[in-house]
Amino acid sequence: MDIDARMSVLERSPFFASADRDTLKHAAETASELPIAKEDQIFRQGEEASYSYLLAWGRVRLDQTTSDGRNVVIRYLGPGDLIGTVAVLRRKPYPATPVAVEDGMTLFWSAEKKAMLIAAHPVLATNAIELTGSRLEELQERLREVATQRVERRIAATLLRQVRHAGRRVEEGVEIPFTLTRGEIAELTATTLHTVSRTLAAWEQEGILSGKRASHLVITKPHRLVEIAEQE
Amino acid sequence: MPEFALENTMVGEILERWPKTAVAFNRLGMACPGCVMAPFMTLDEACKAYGLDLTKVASAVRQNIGPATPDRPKEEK
Repeated sequence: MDIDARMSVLERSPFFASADRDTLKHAAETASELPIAKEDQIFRQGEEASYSYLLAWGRVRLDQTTSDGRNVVIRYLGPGDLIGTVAVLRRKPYPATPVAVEDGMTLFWSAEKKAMLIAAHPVLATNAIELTGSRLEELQERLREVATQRVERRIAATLLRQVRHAGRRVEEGVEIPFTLTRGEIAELTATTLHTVSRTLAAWEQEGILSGKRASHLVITKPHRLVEIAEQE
Repeated sequence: MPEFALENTMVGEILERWPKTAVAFNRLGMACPGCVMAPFMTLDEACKAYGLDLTKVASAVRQNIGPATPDRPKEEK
C-alpha cells in the first residue's frame, strides 16, 4: 500500500476519528504492513506485546484460552479495529490470540512508535479511551445477559451484535458476512453447542434465519430476531 | 420537489437524513429509532413487520421531513 492508501484505511478507523491529515500521514509513514492468510495467528496469547496492529481489511477472531484449557471467543474484529494495542500501552503480555477468519491485511507499529504517535497527537489518546470504554460497555452488557437472561434471548443478542458490527443487506435479509460456527456462537453466548443447535434449528423452521448462503447466516426476519432479543 | 420512493429507502437512512422522523415512528409504535436492523430494512419491510399500512406510515413520516429536502443523501463526510 502507498501512503495515500494507508491514510484512507486509517481515516476510517475509530482510533483515528477526528484526526487531522498530519496525524494520519505521520501514522501512515511509521506503519509497517503484515498480510494475513485465513487461519494465521497474528500473535499468541502470553507473548510479550511488542507490536500493535490495525486491521486494514479482513476479519479476525479473538481467542482466549482459559487456565483449564478451554477456548473462548472474546469477539470478532473487522476493518479499522485495533489489535493488541491495550496490551502494548499497558506493557502487559497479549491477553488473547487473534486468528484470521479470512485473508486480510494489517498495519502495525512497534510499542515505541505507537507511544510516540500518541504523545505527538493527543486526539489518539482520547480515541483510545473512547474505544476501551465502548469495549467495556459491551462486556458489561454480555455479563448482564449471562447473569439474567434466558438463553434464546442471549443467542439473539449475540447475533445482533455481529449485525451491528458487520451486517450486510442481501436480497433475502441481513447477512452476517463471515463464517460463524454454532460452537463459536455457543462460546460468545456462554451456553452449550447443543442449545445453540436446537435454538438455531427452531429459528430456521420459523423462517427467522437461513444458514444456506455459503455458511454465512442470513437473518430473514430481522424484526422477529430483535423482538426475541428484547423480550422479557 | 420530486417525490422519491420513500418505501424503498432504508429506515436507518430516513432516520439519519431526517432525525425528526423519529417522532412519527415513535407515535406509530414502531421501535425503529436506535434499532440495530433499521439500516437494513426498507420502510415497506418495516411496515410489513409491524402489520401497518405503508401509505399511512409514509405520509406520517413525510410530515416530519422538511420541504427543502435534497433528493439524494449528502455525500460529504
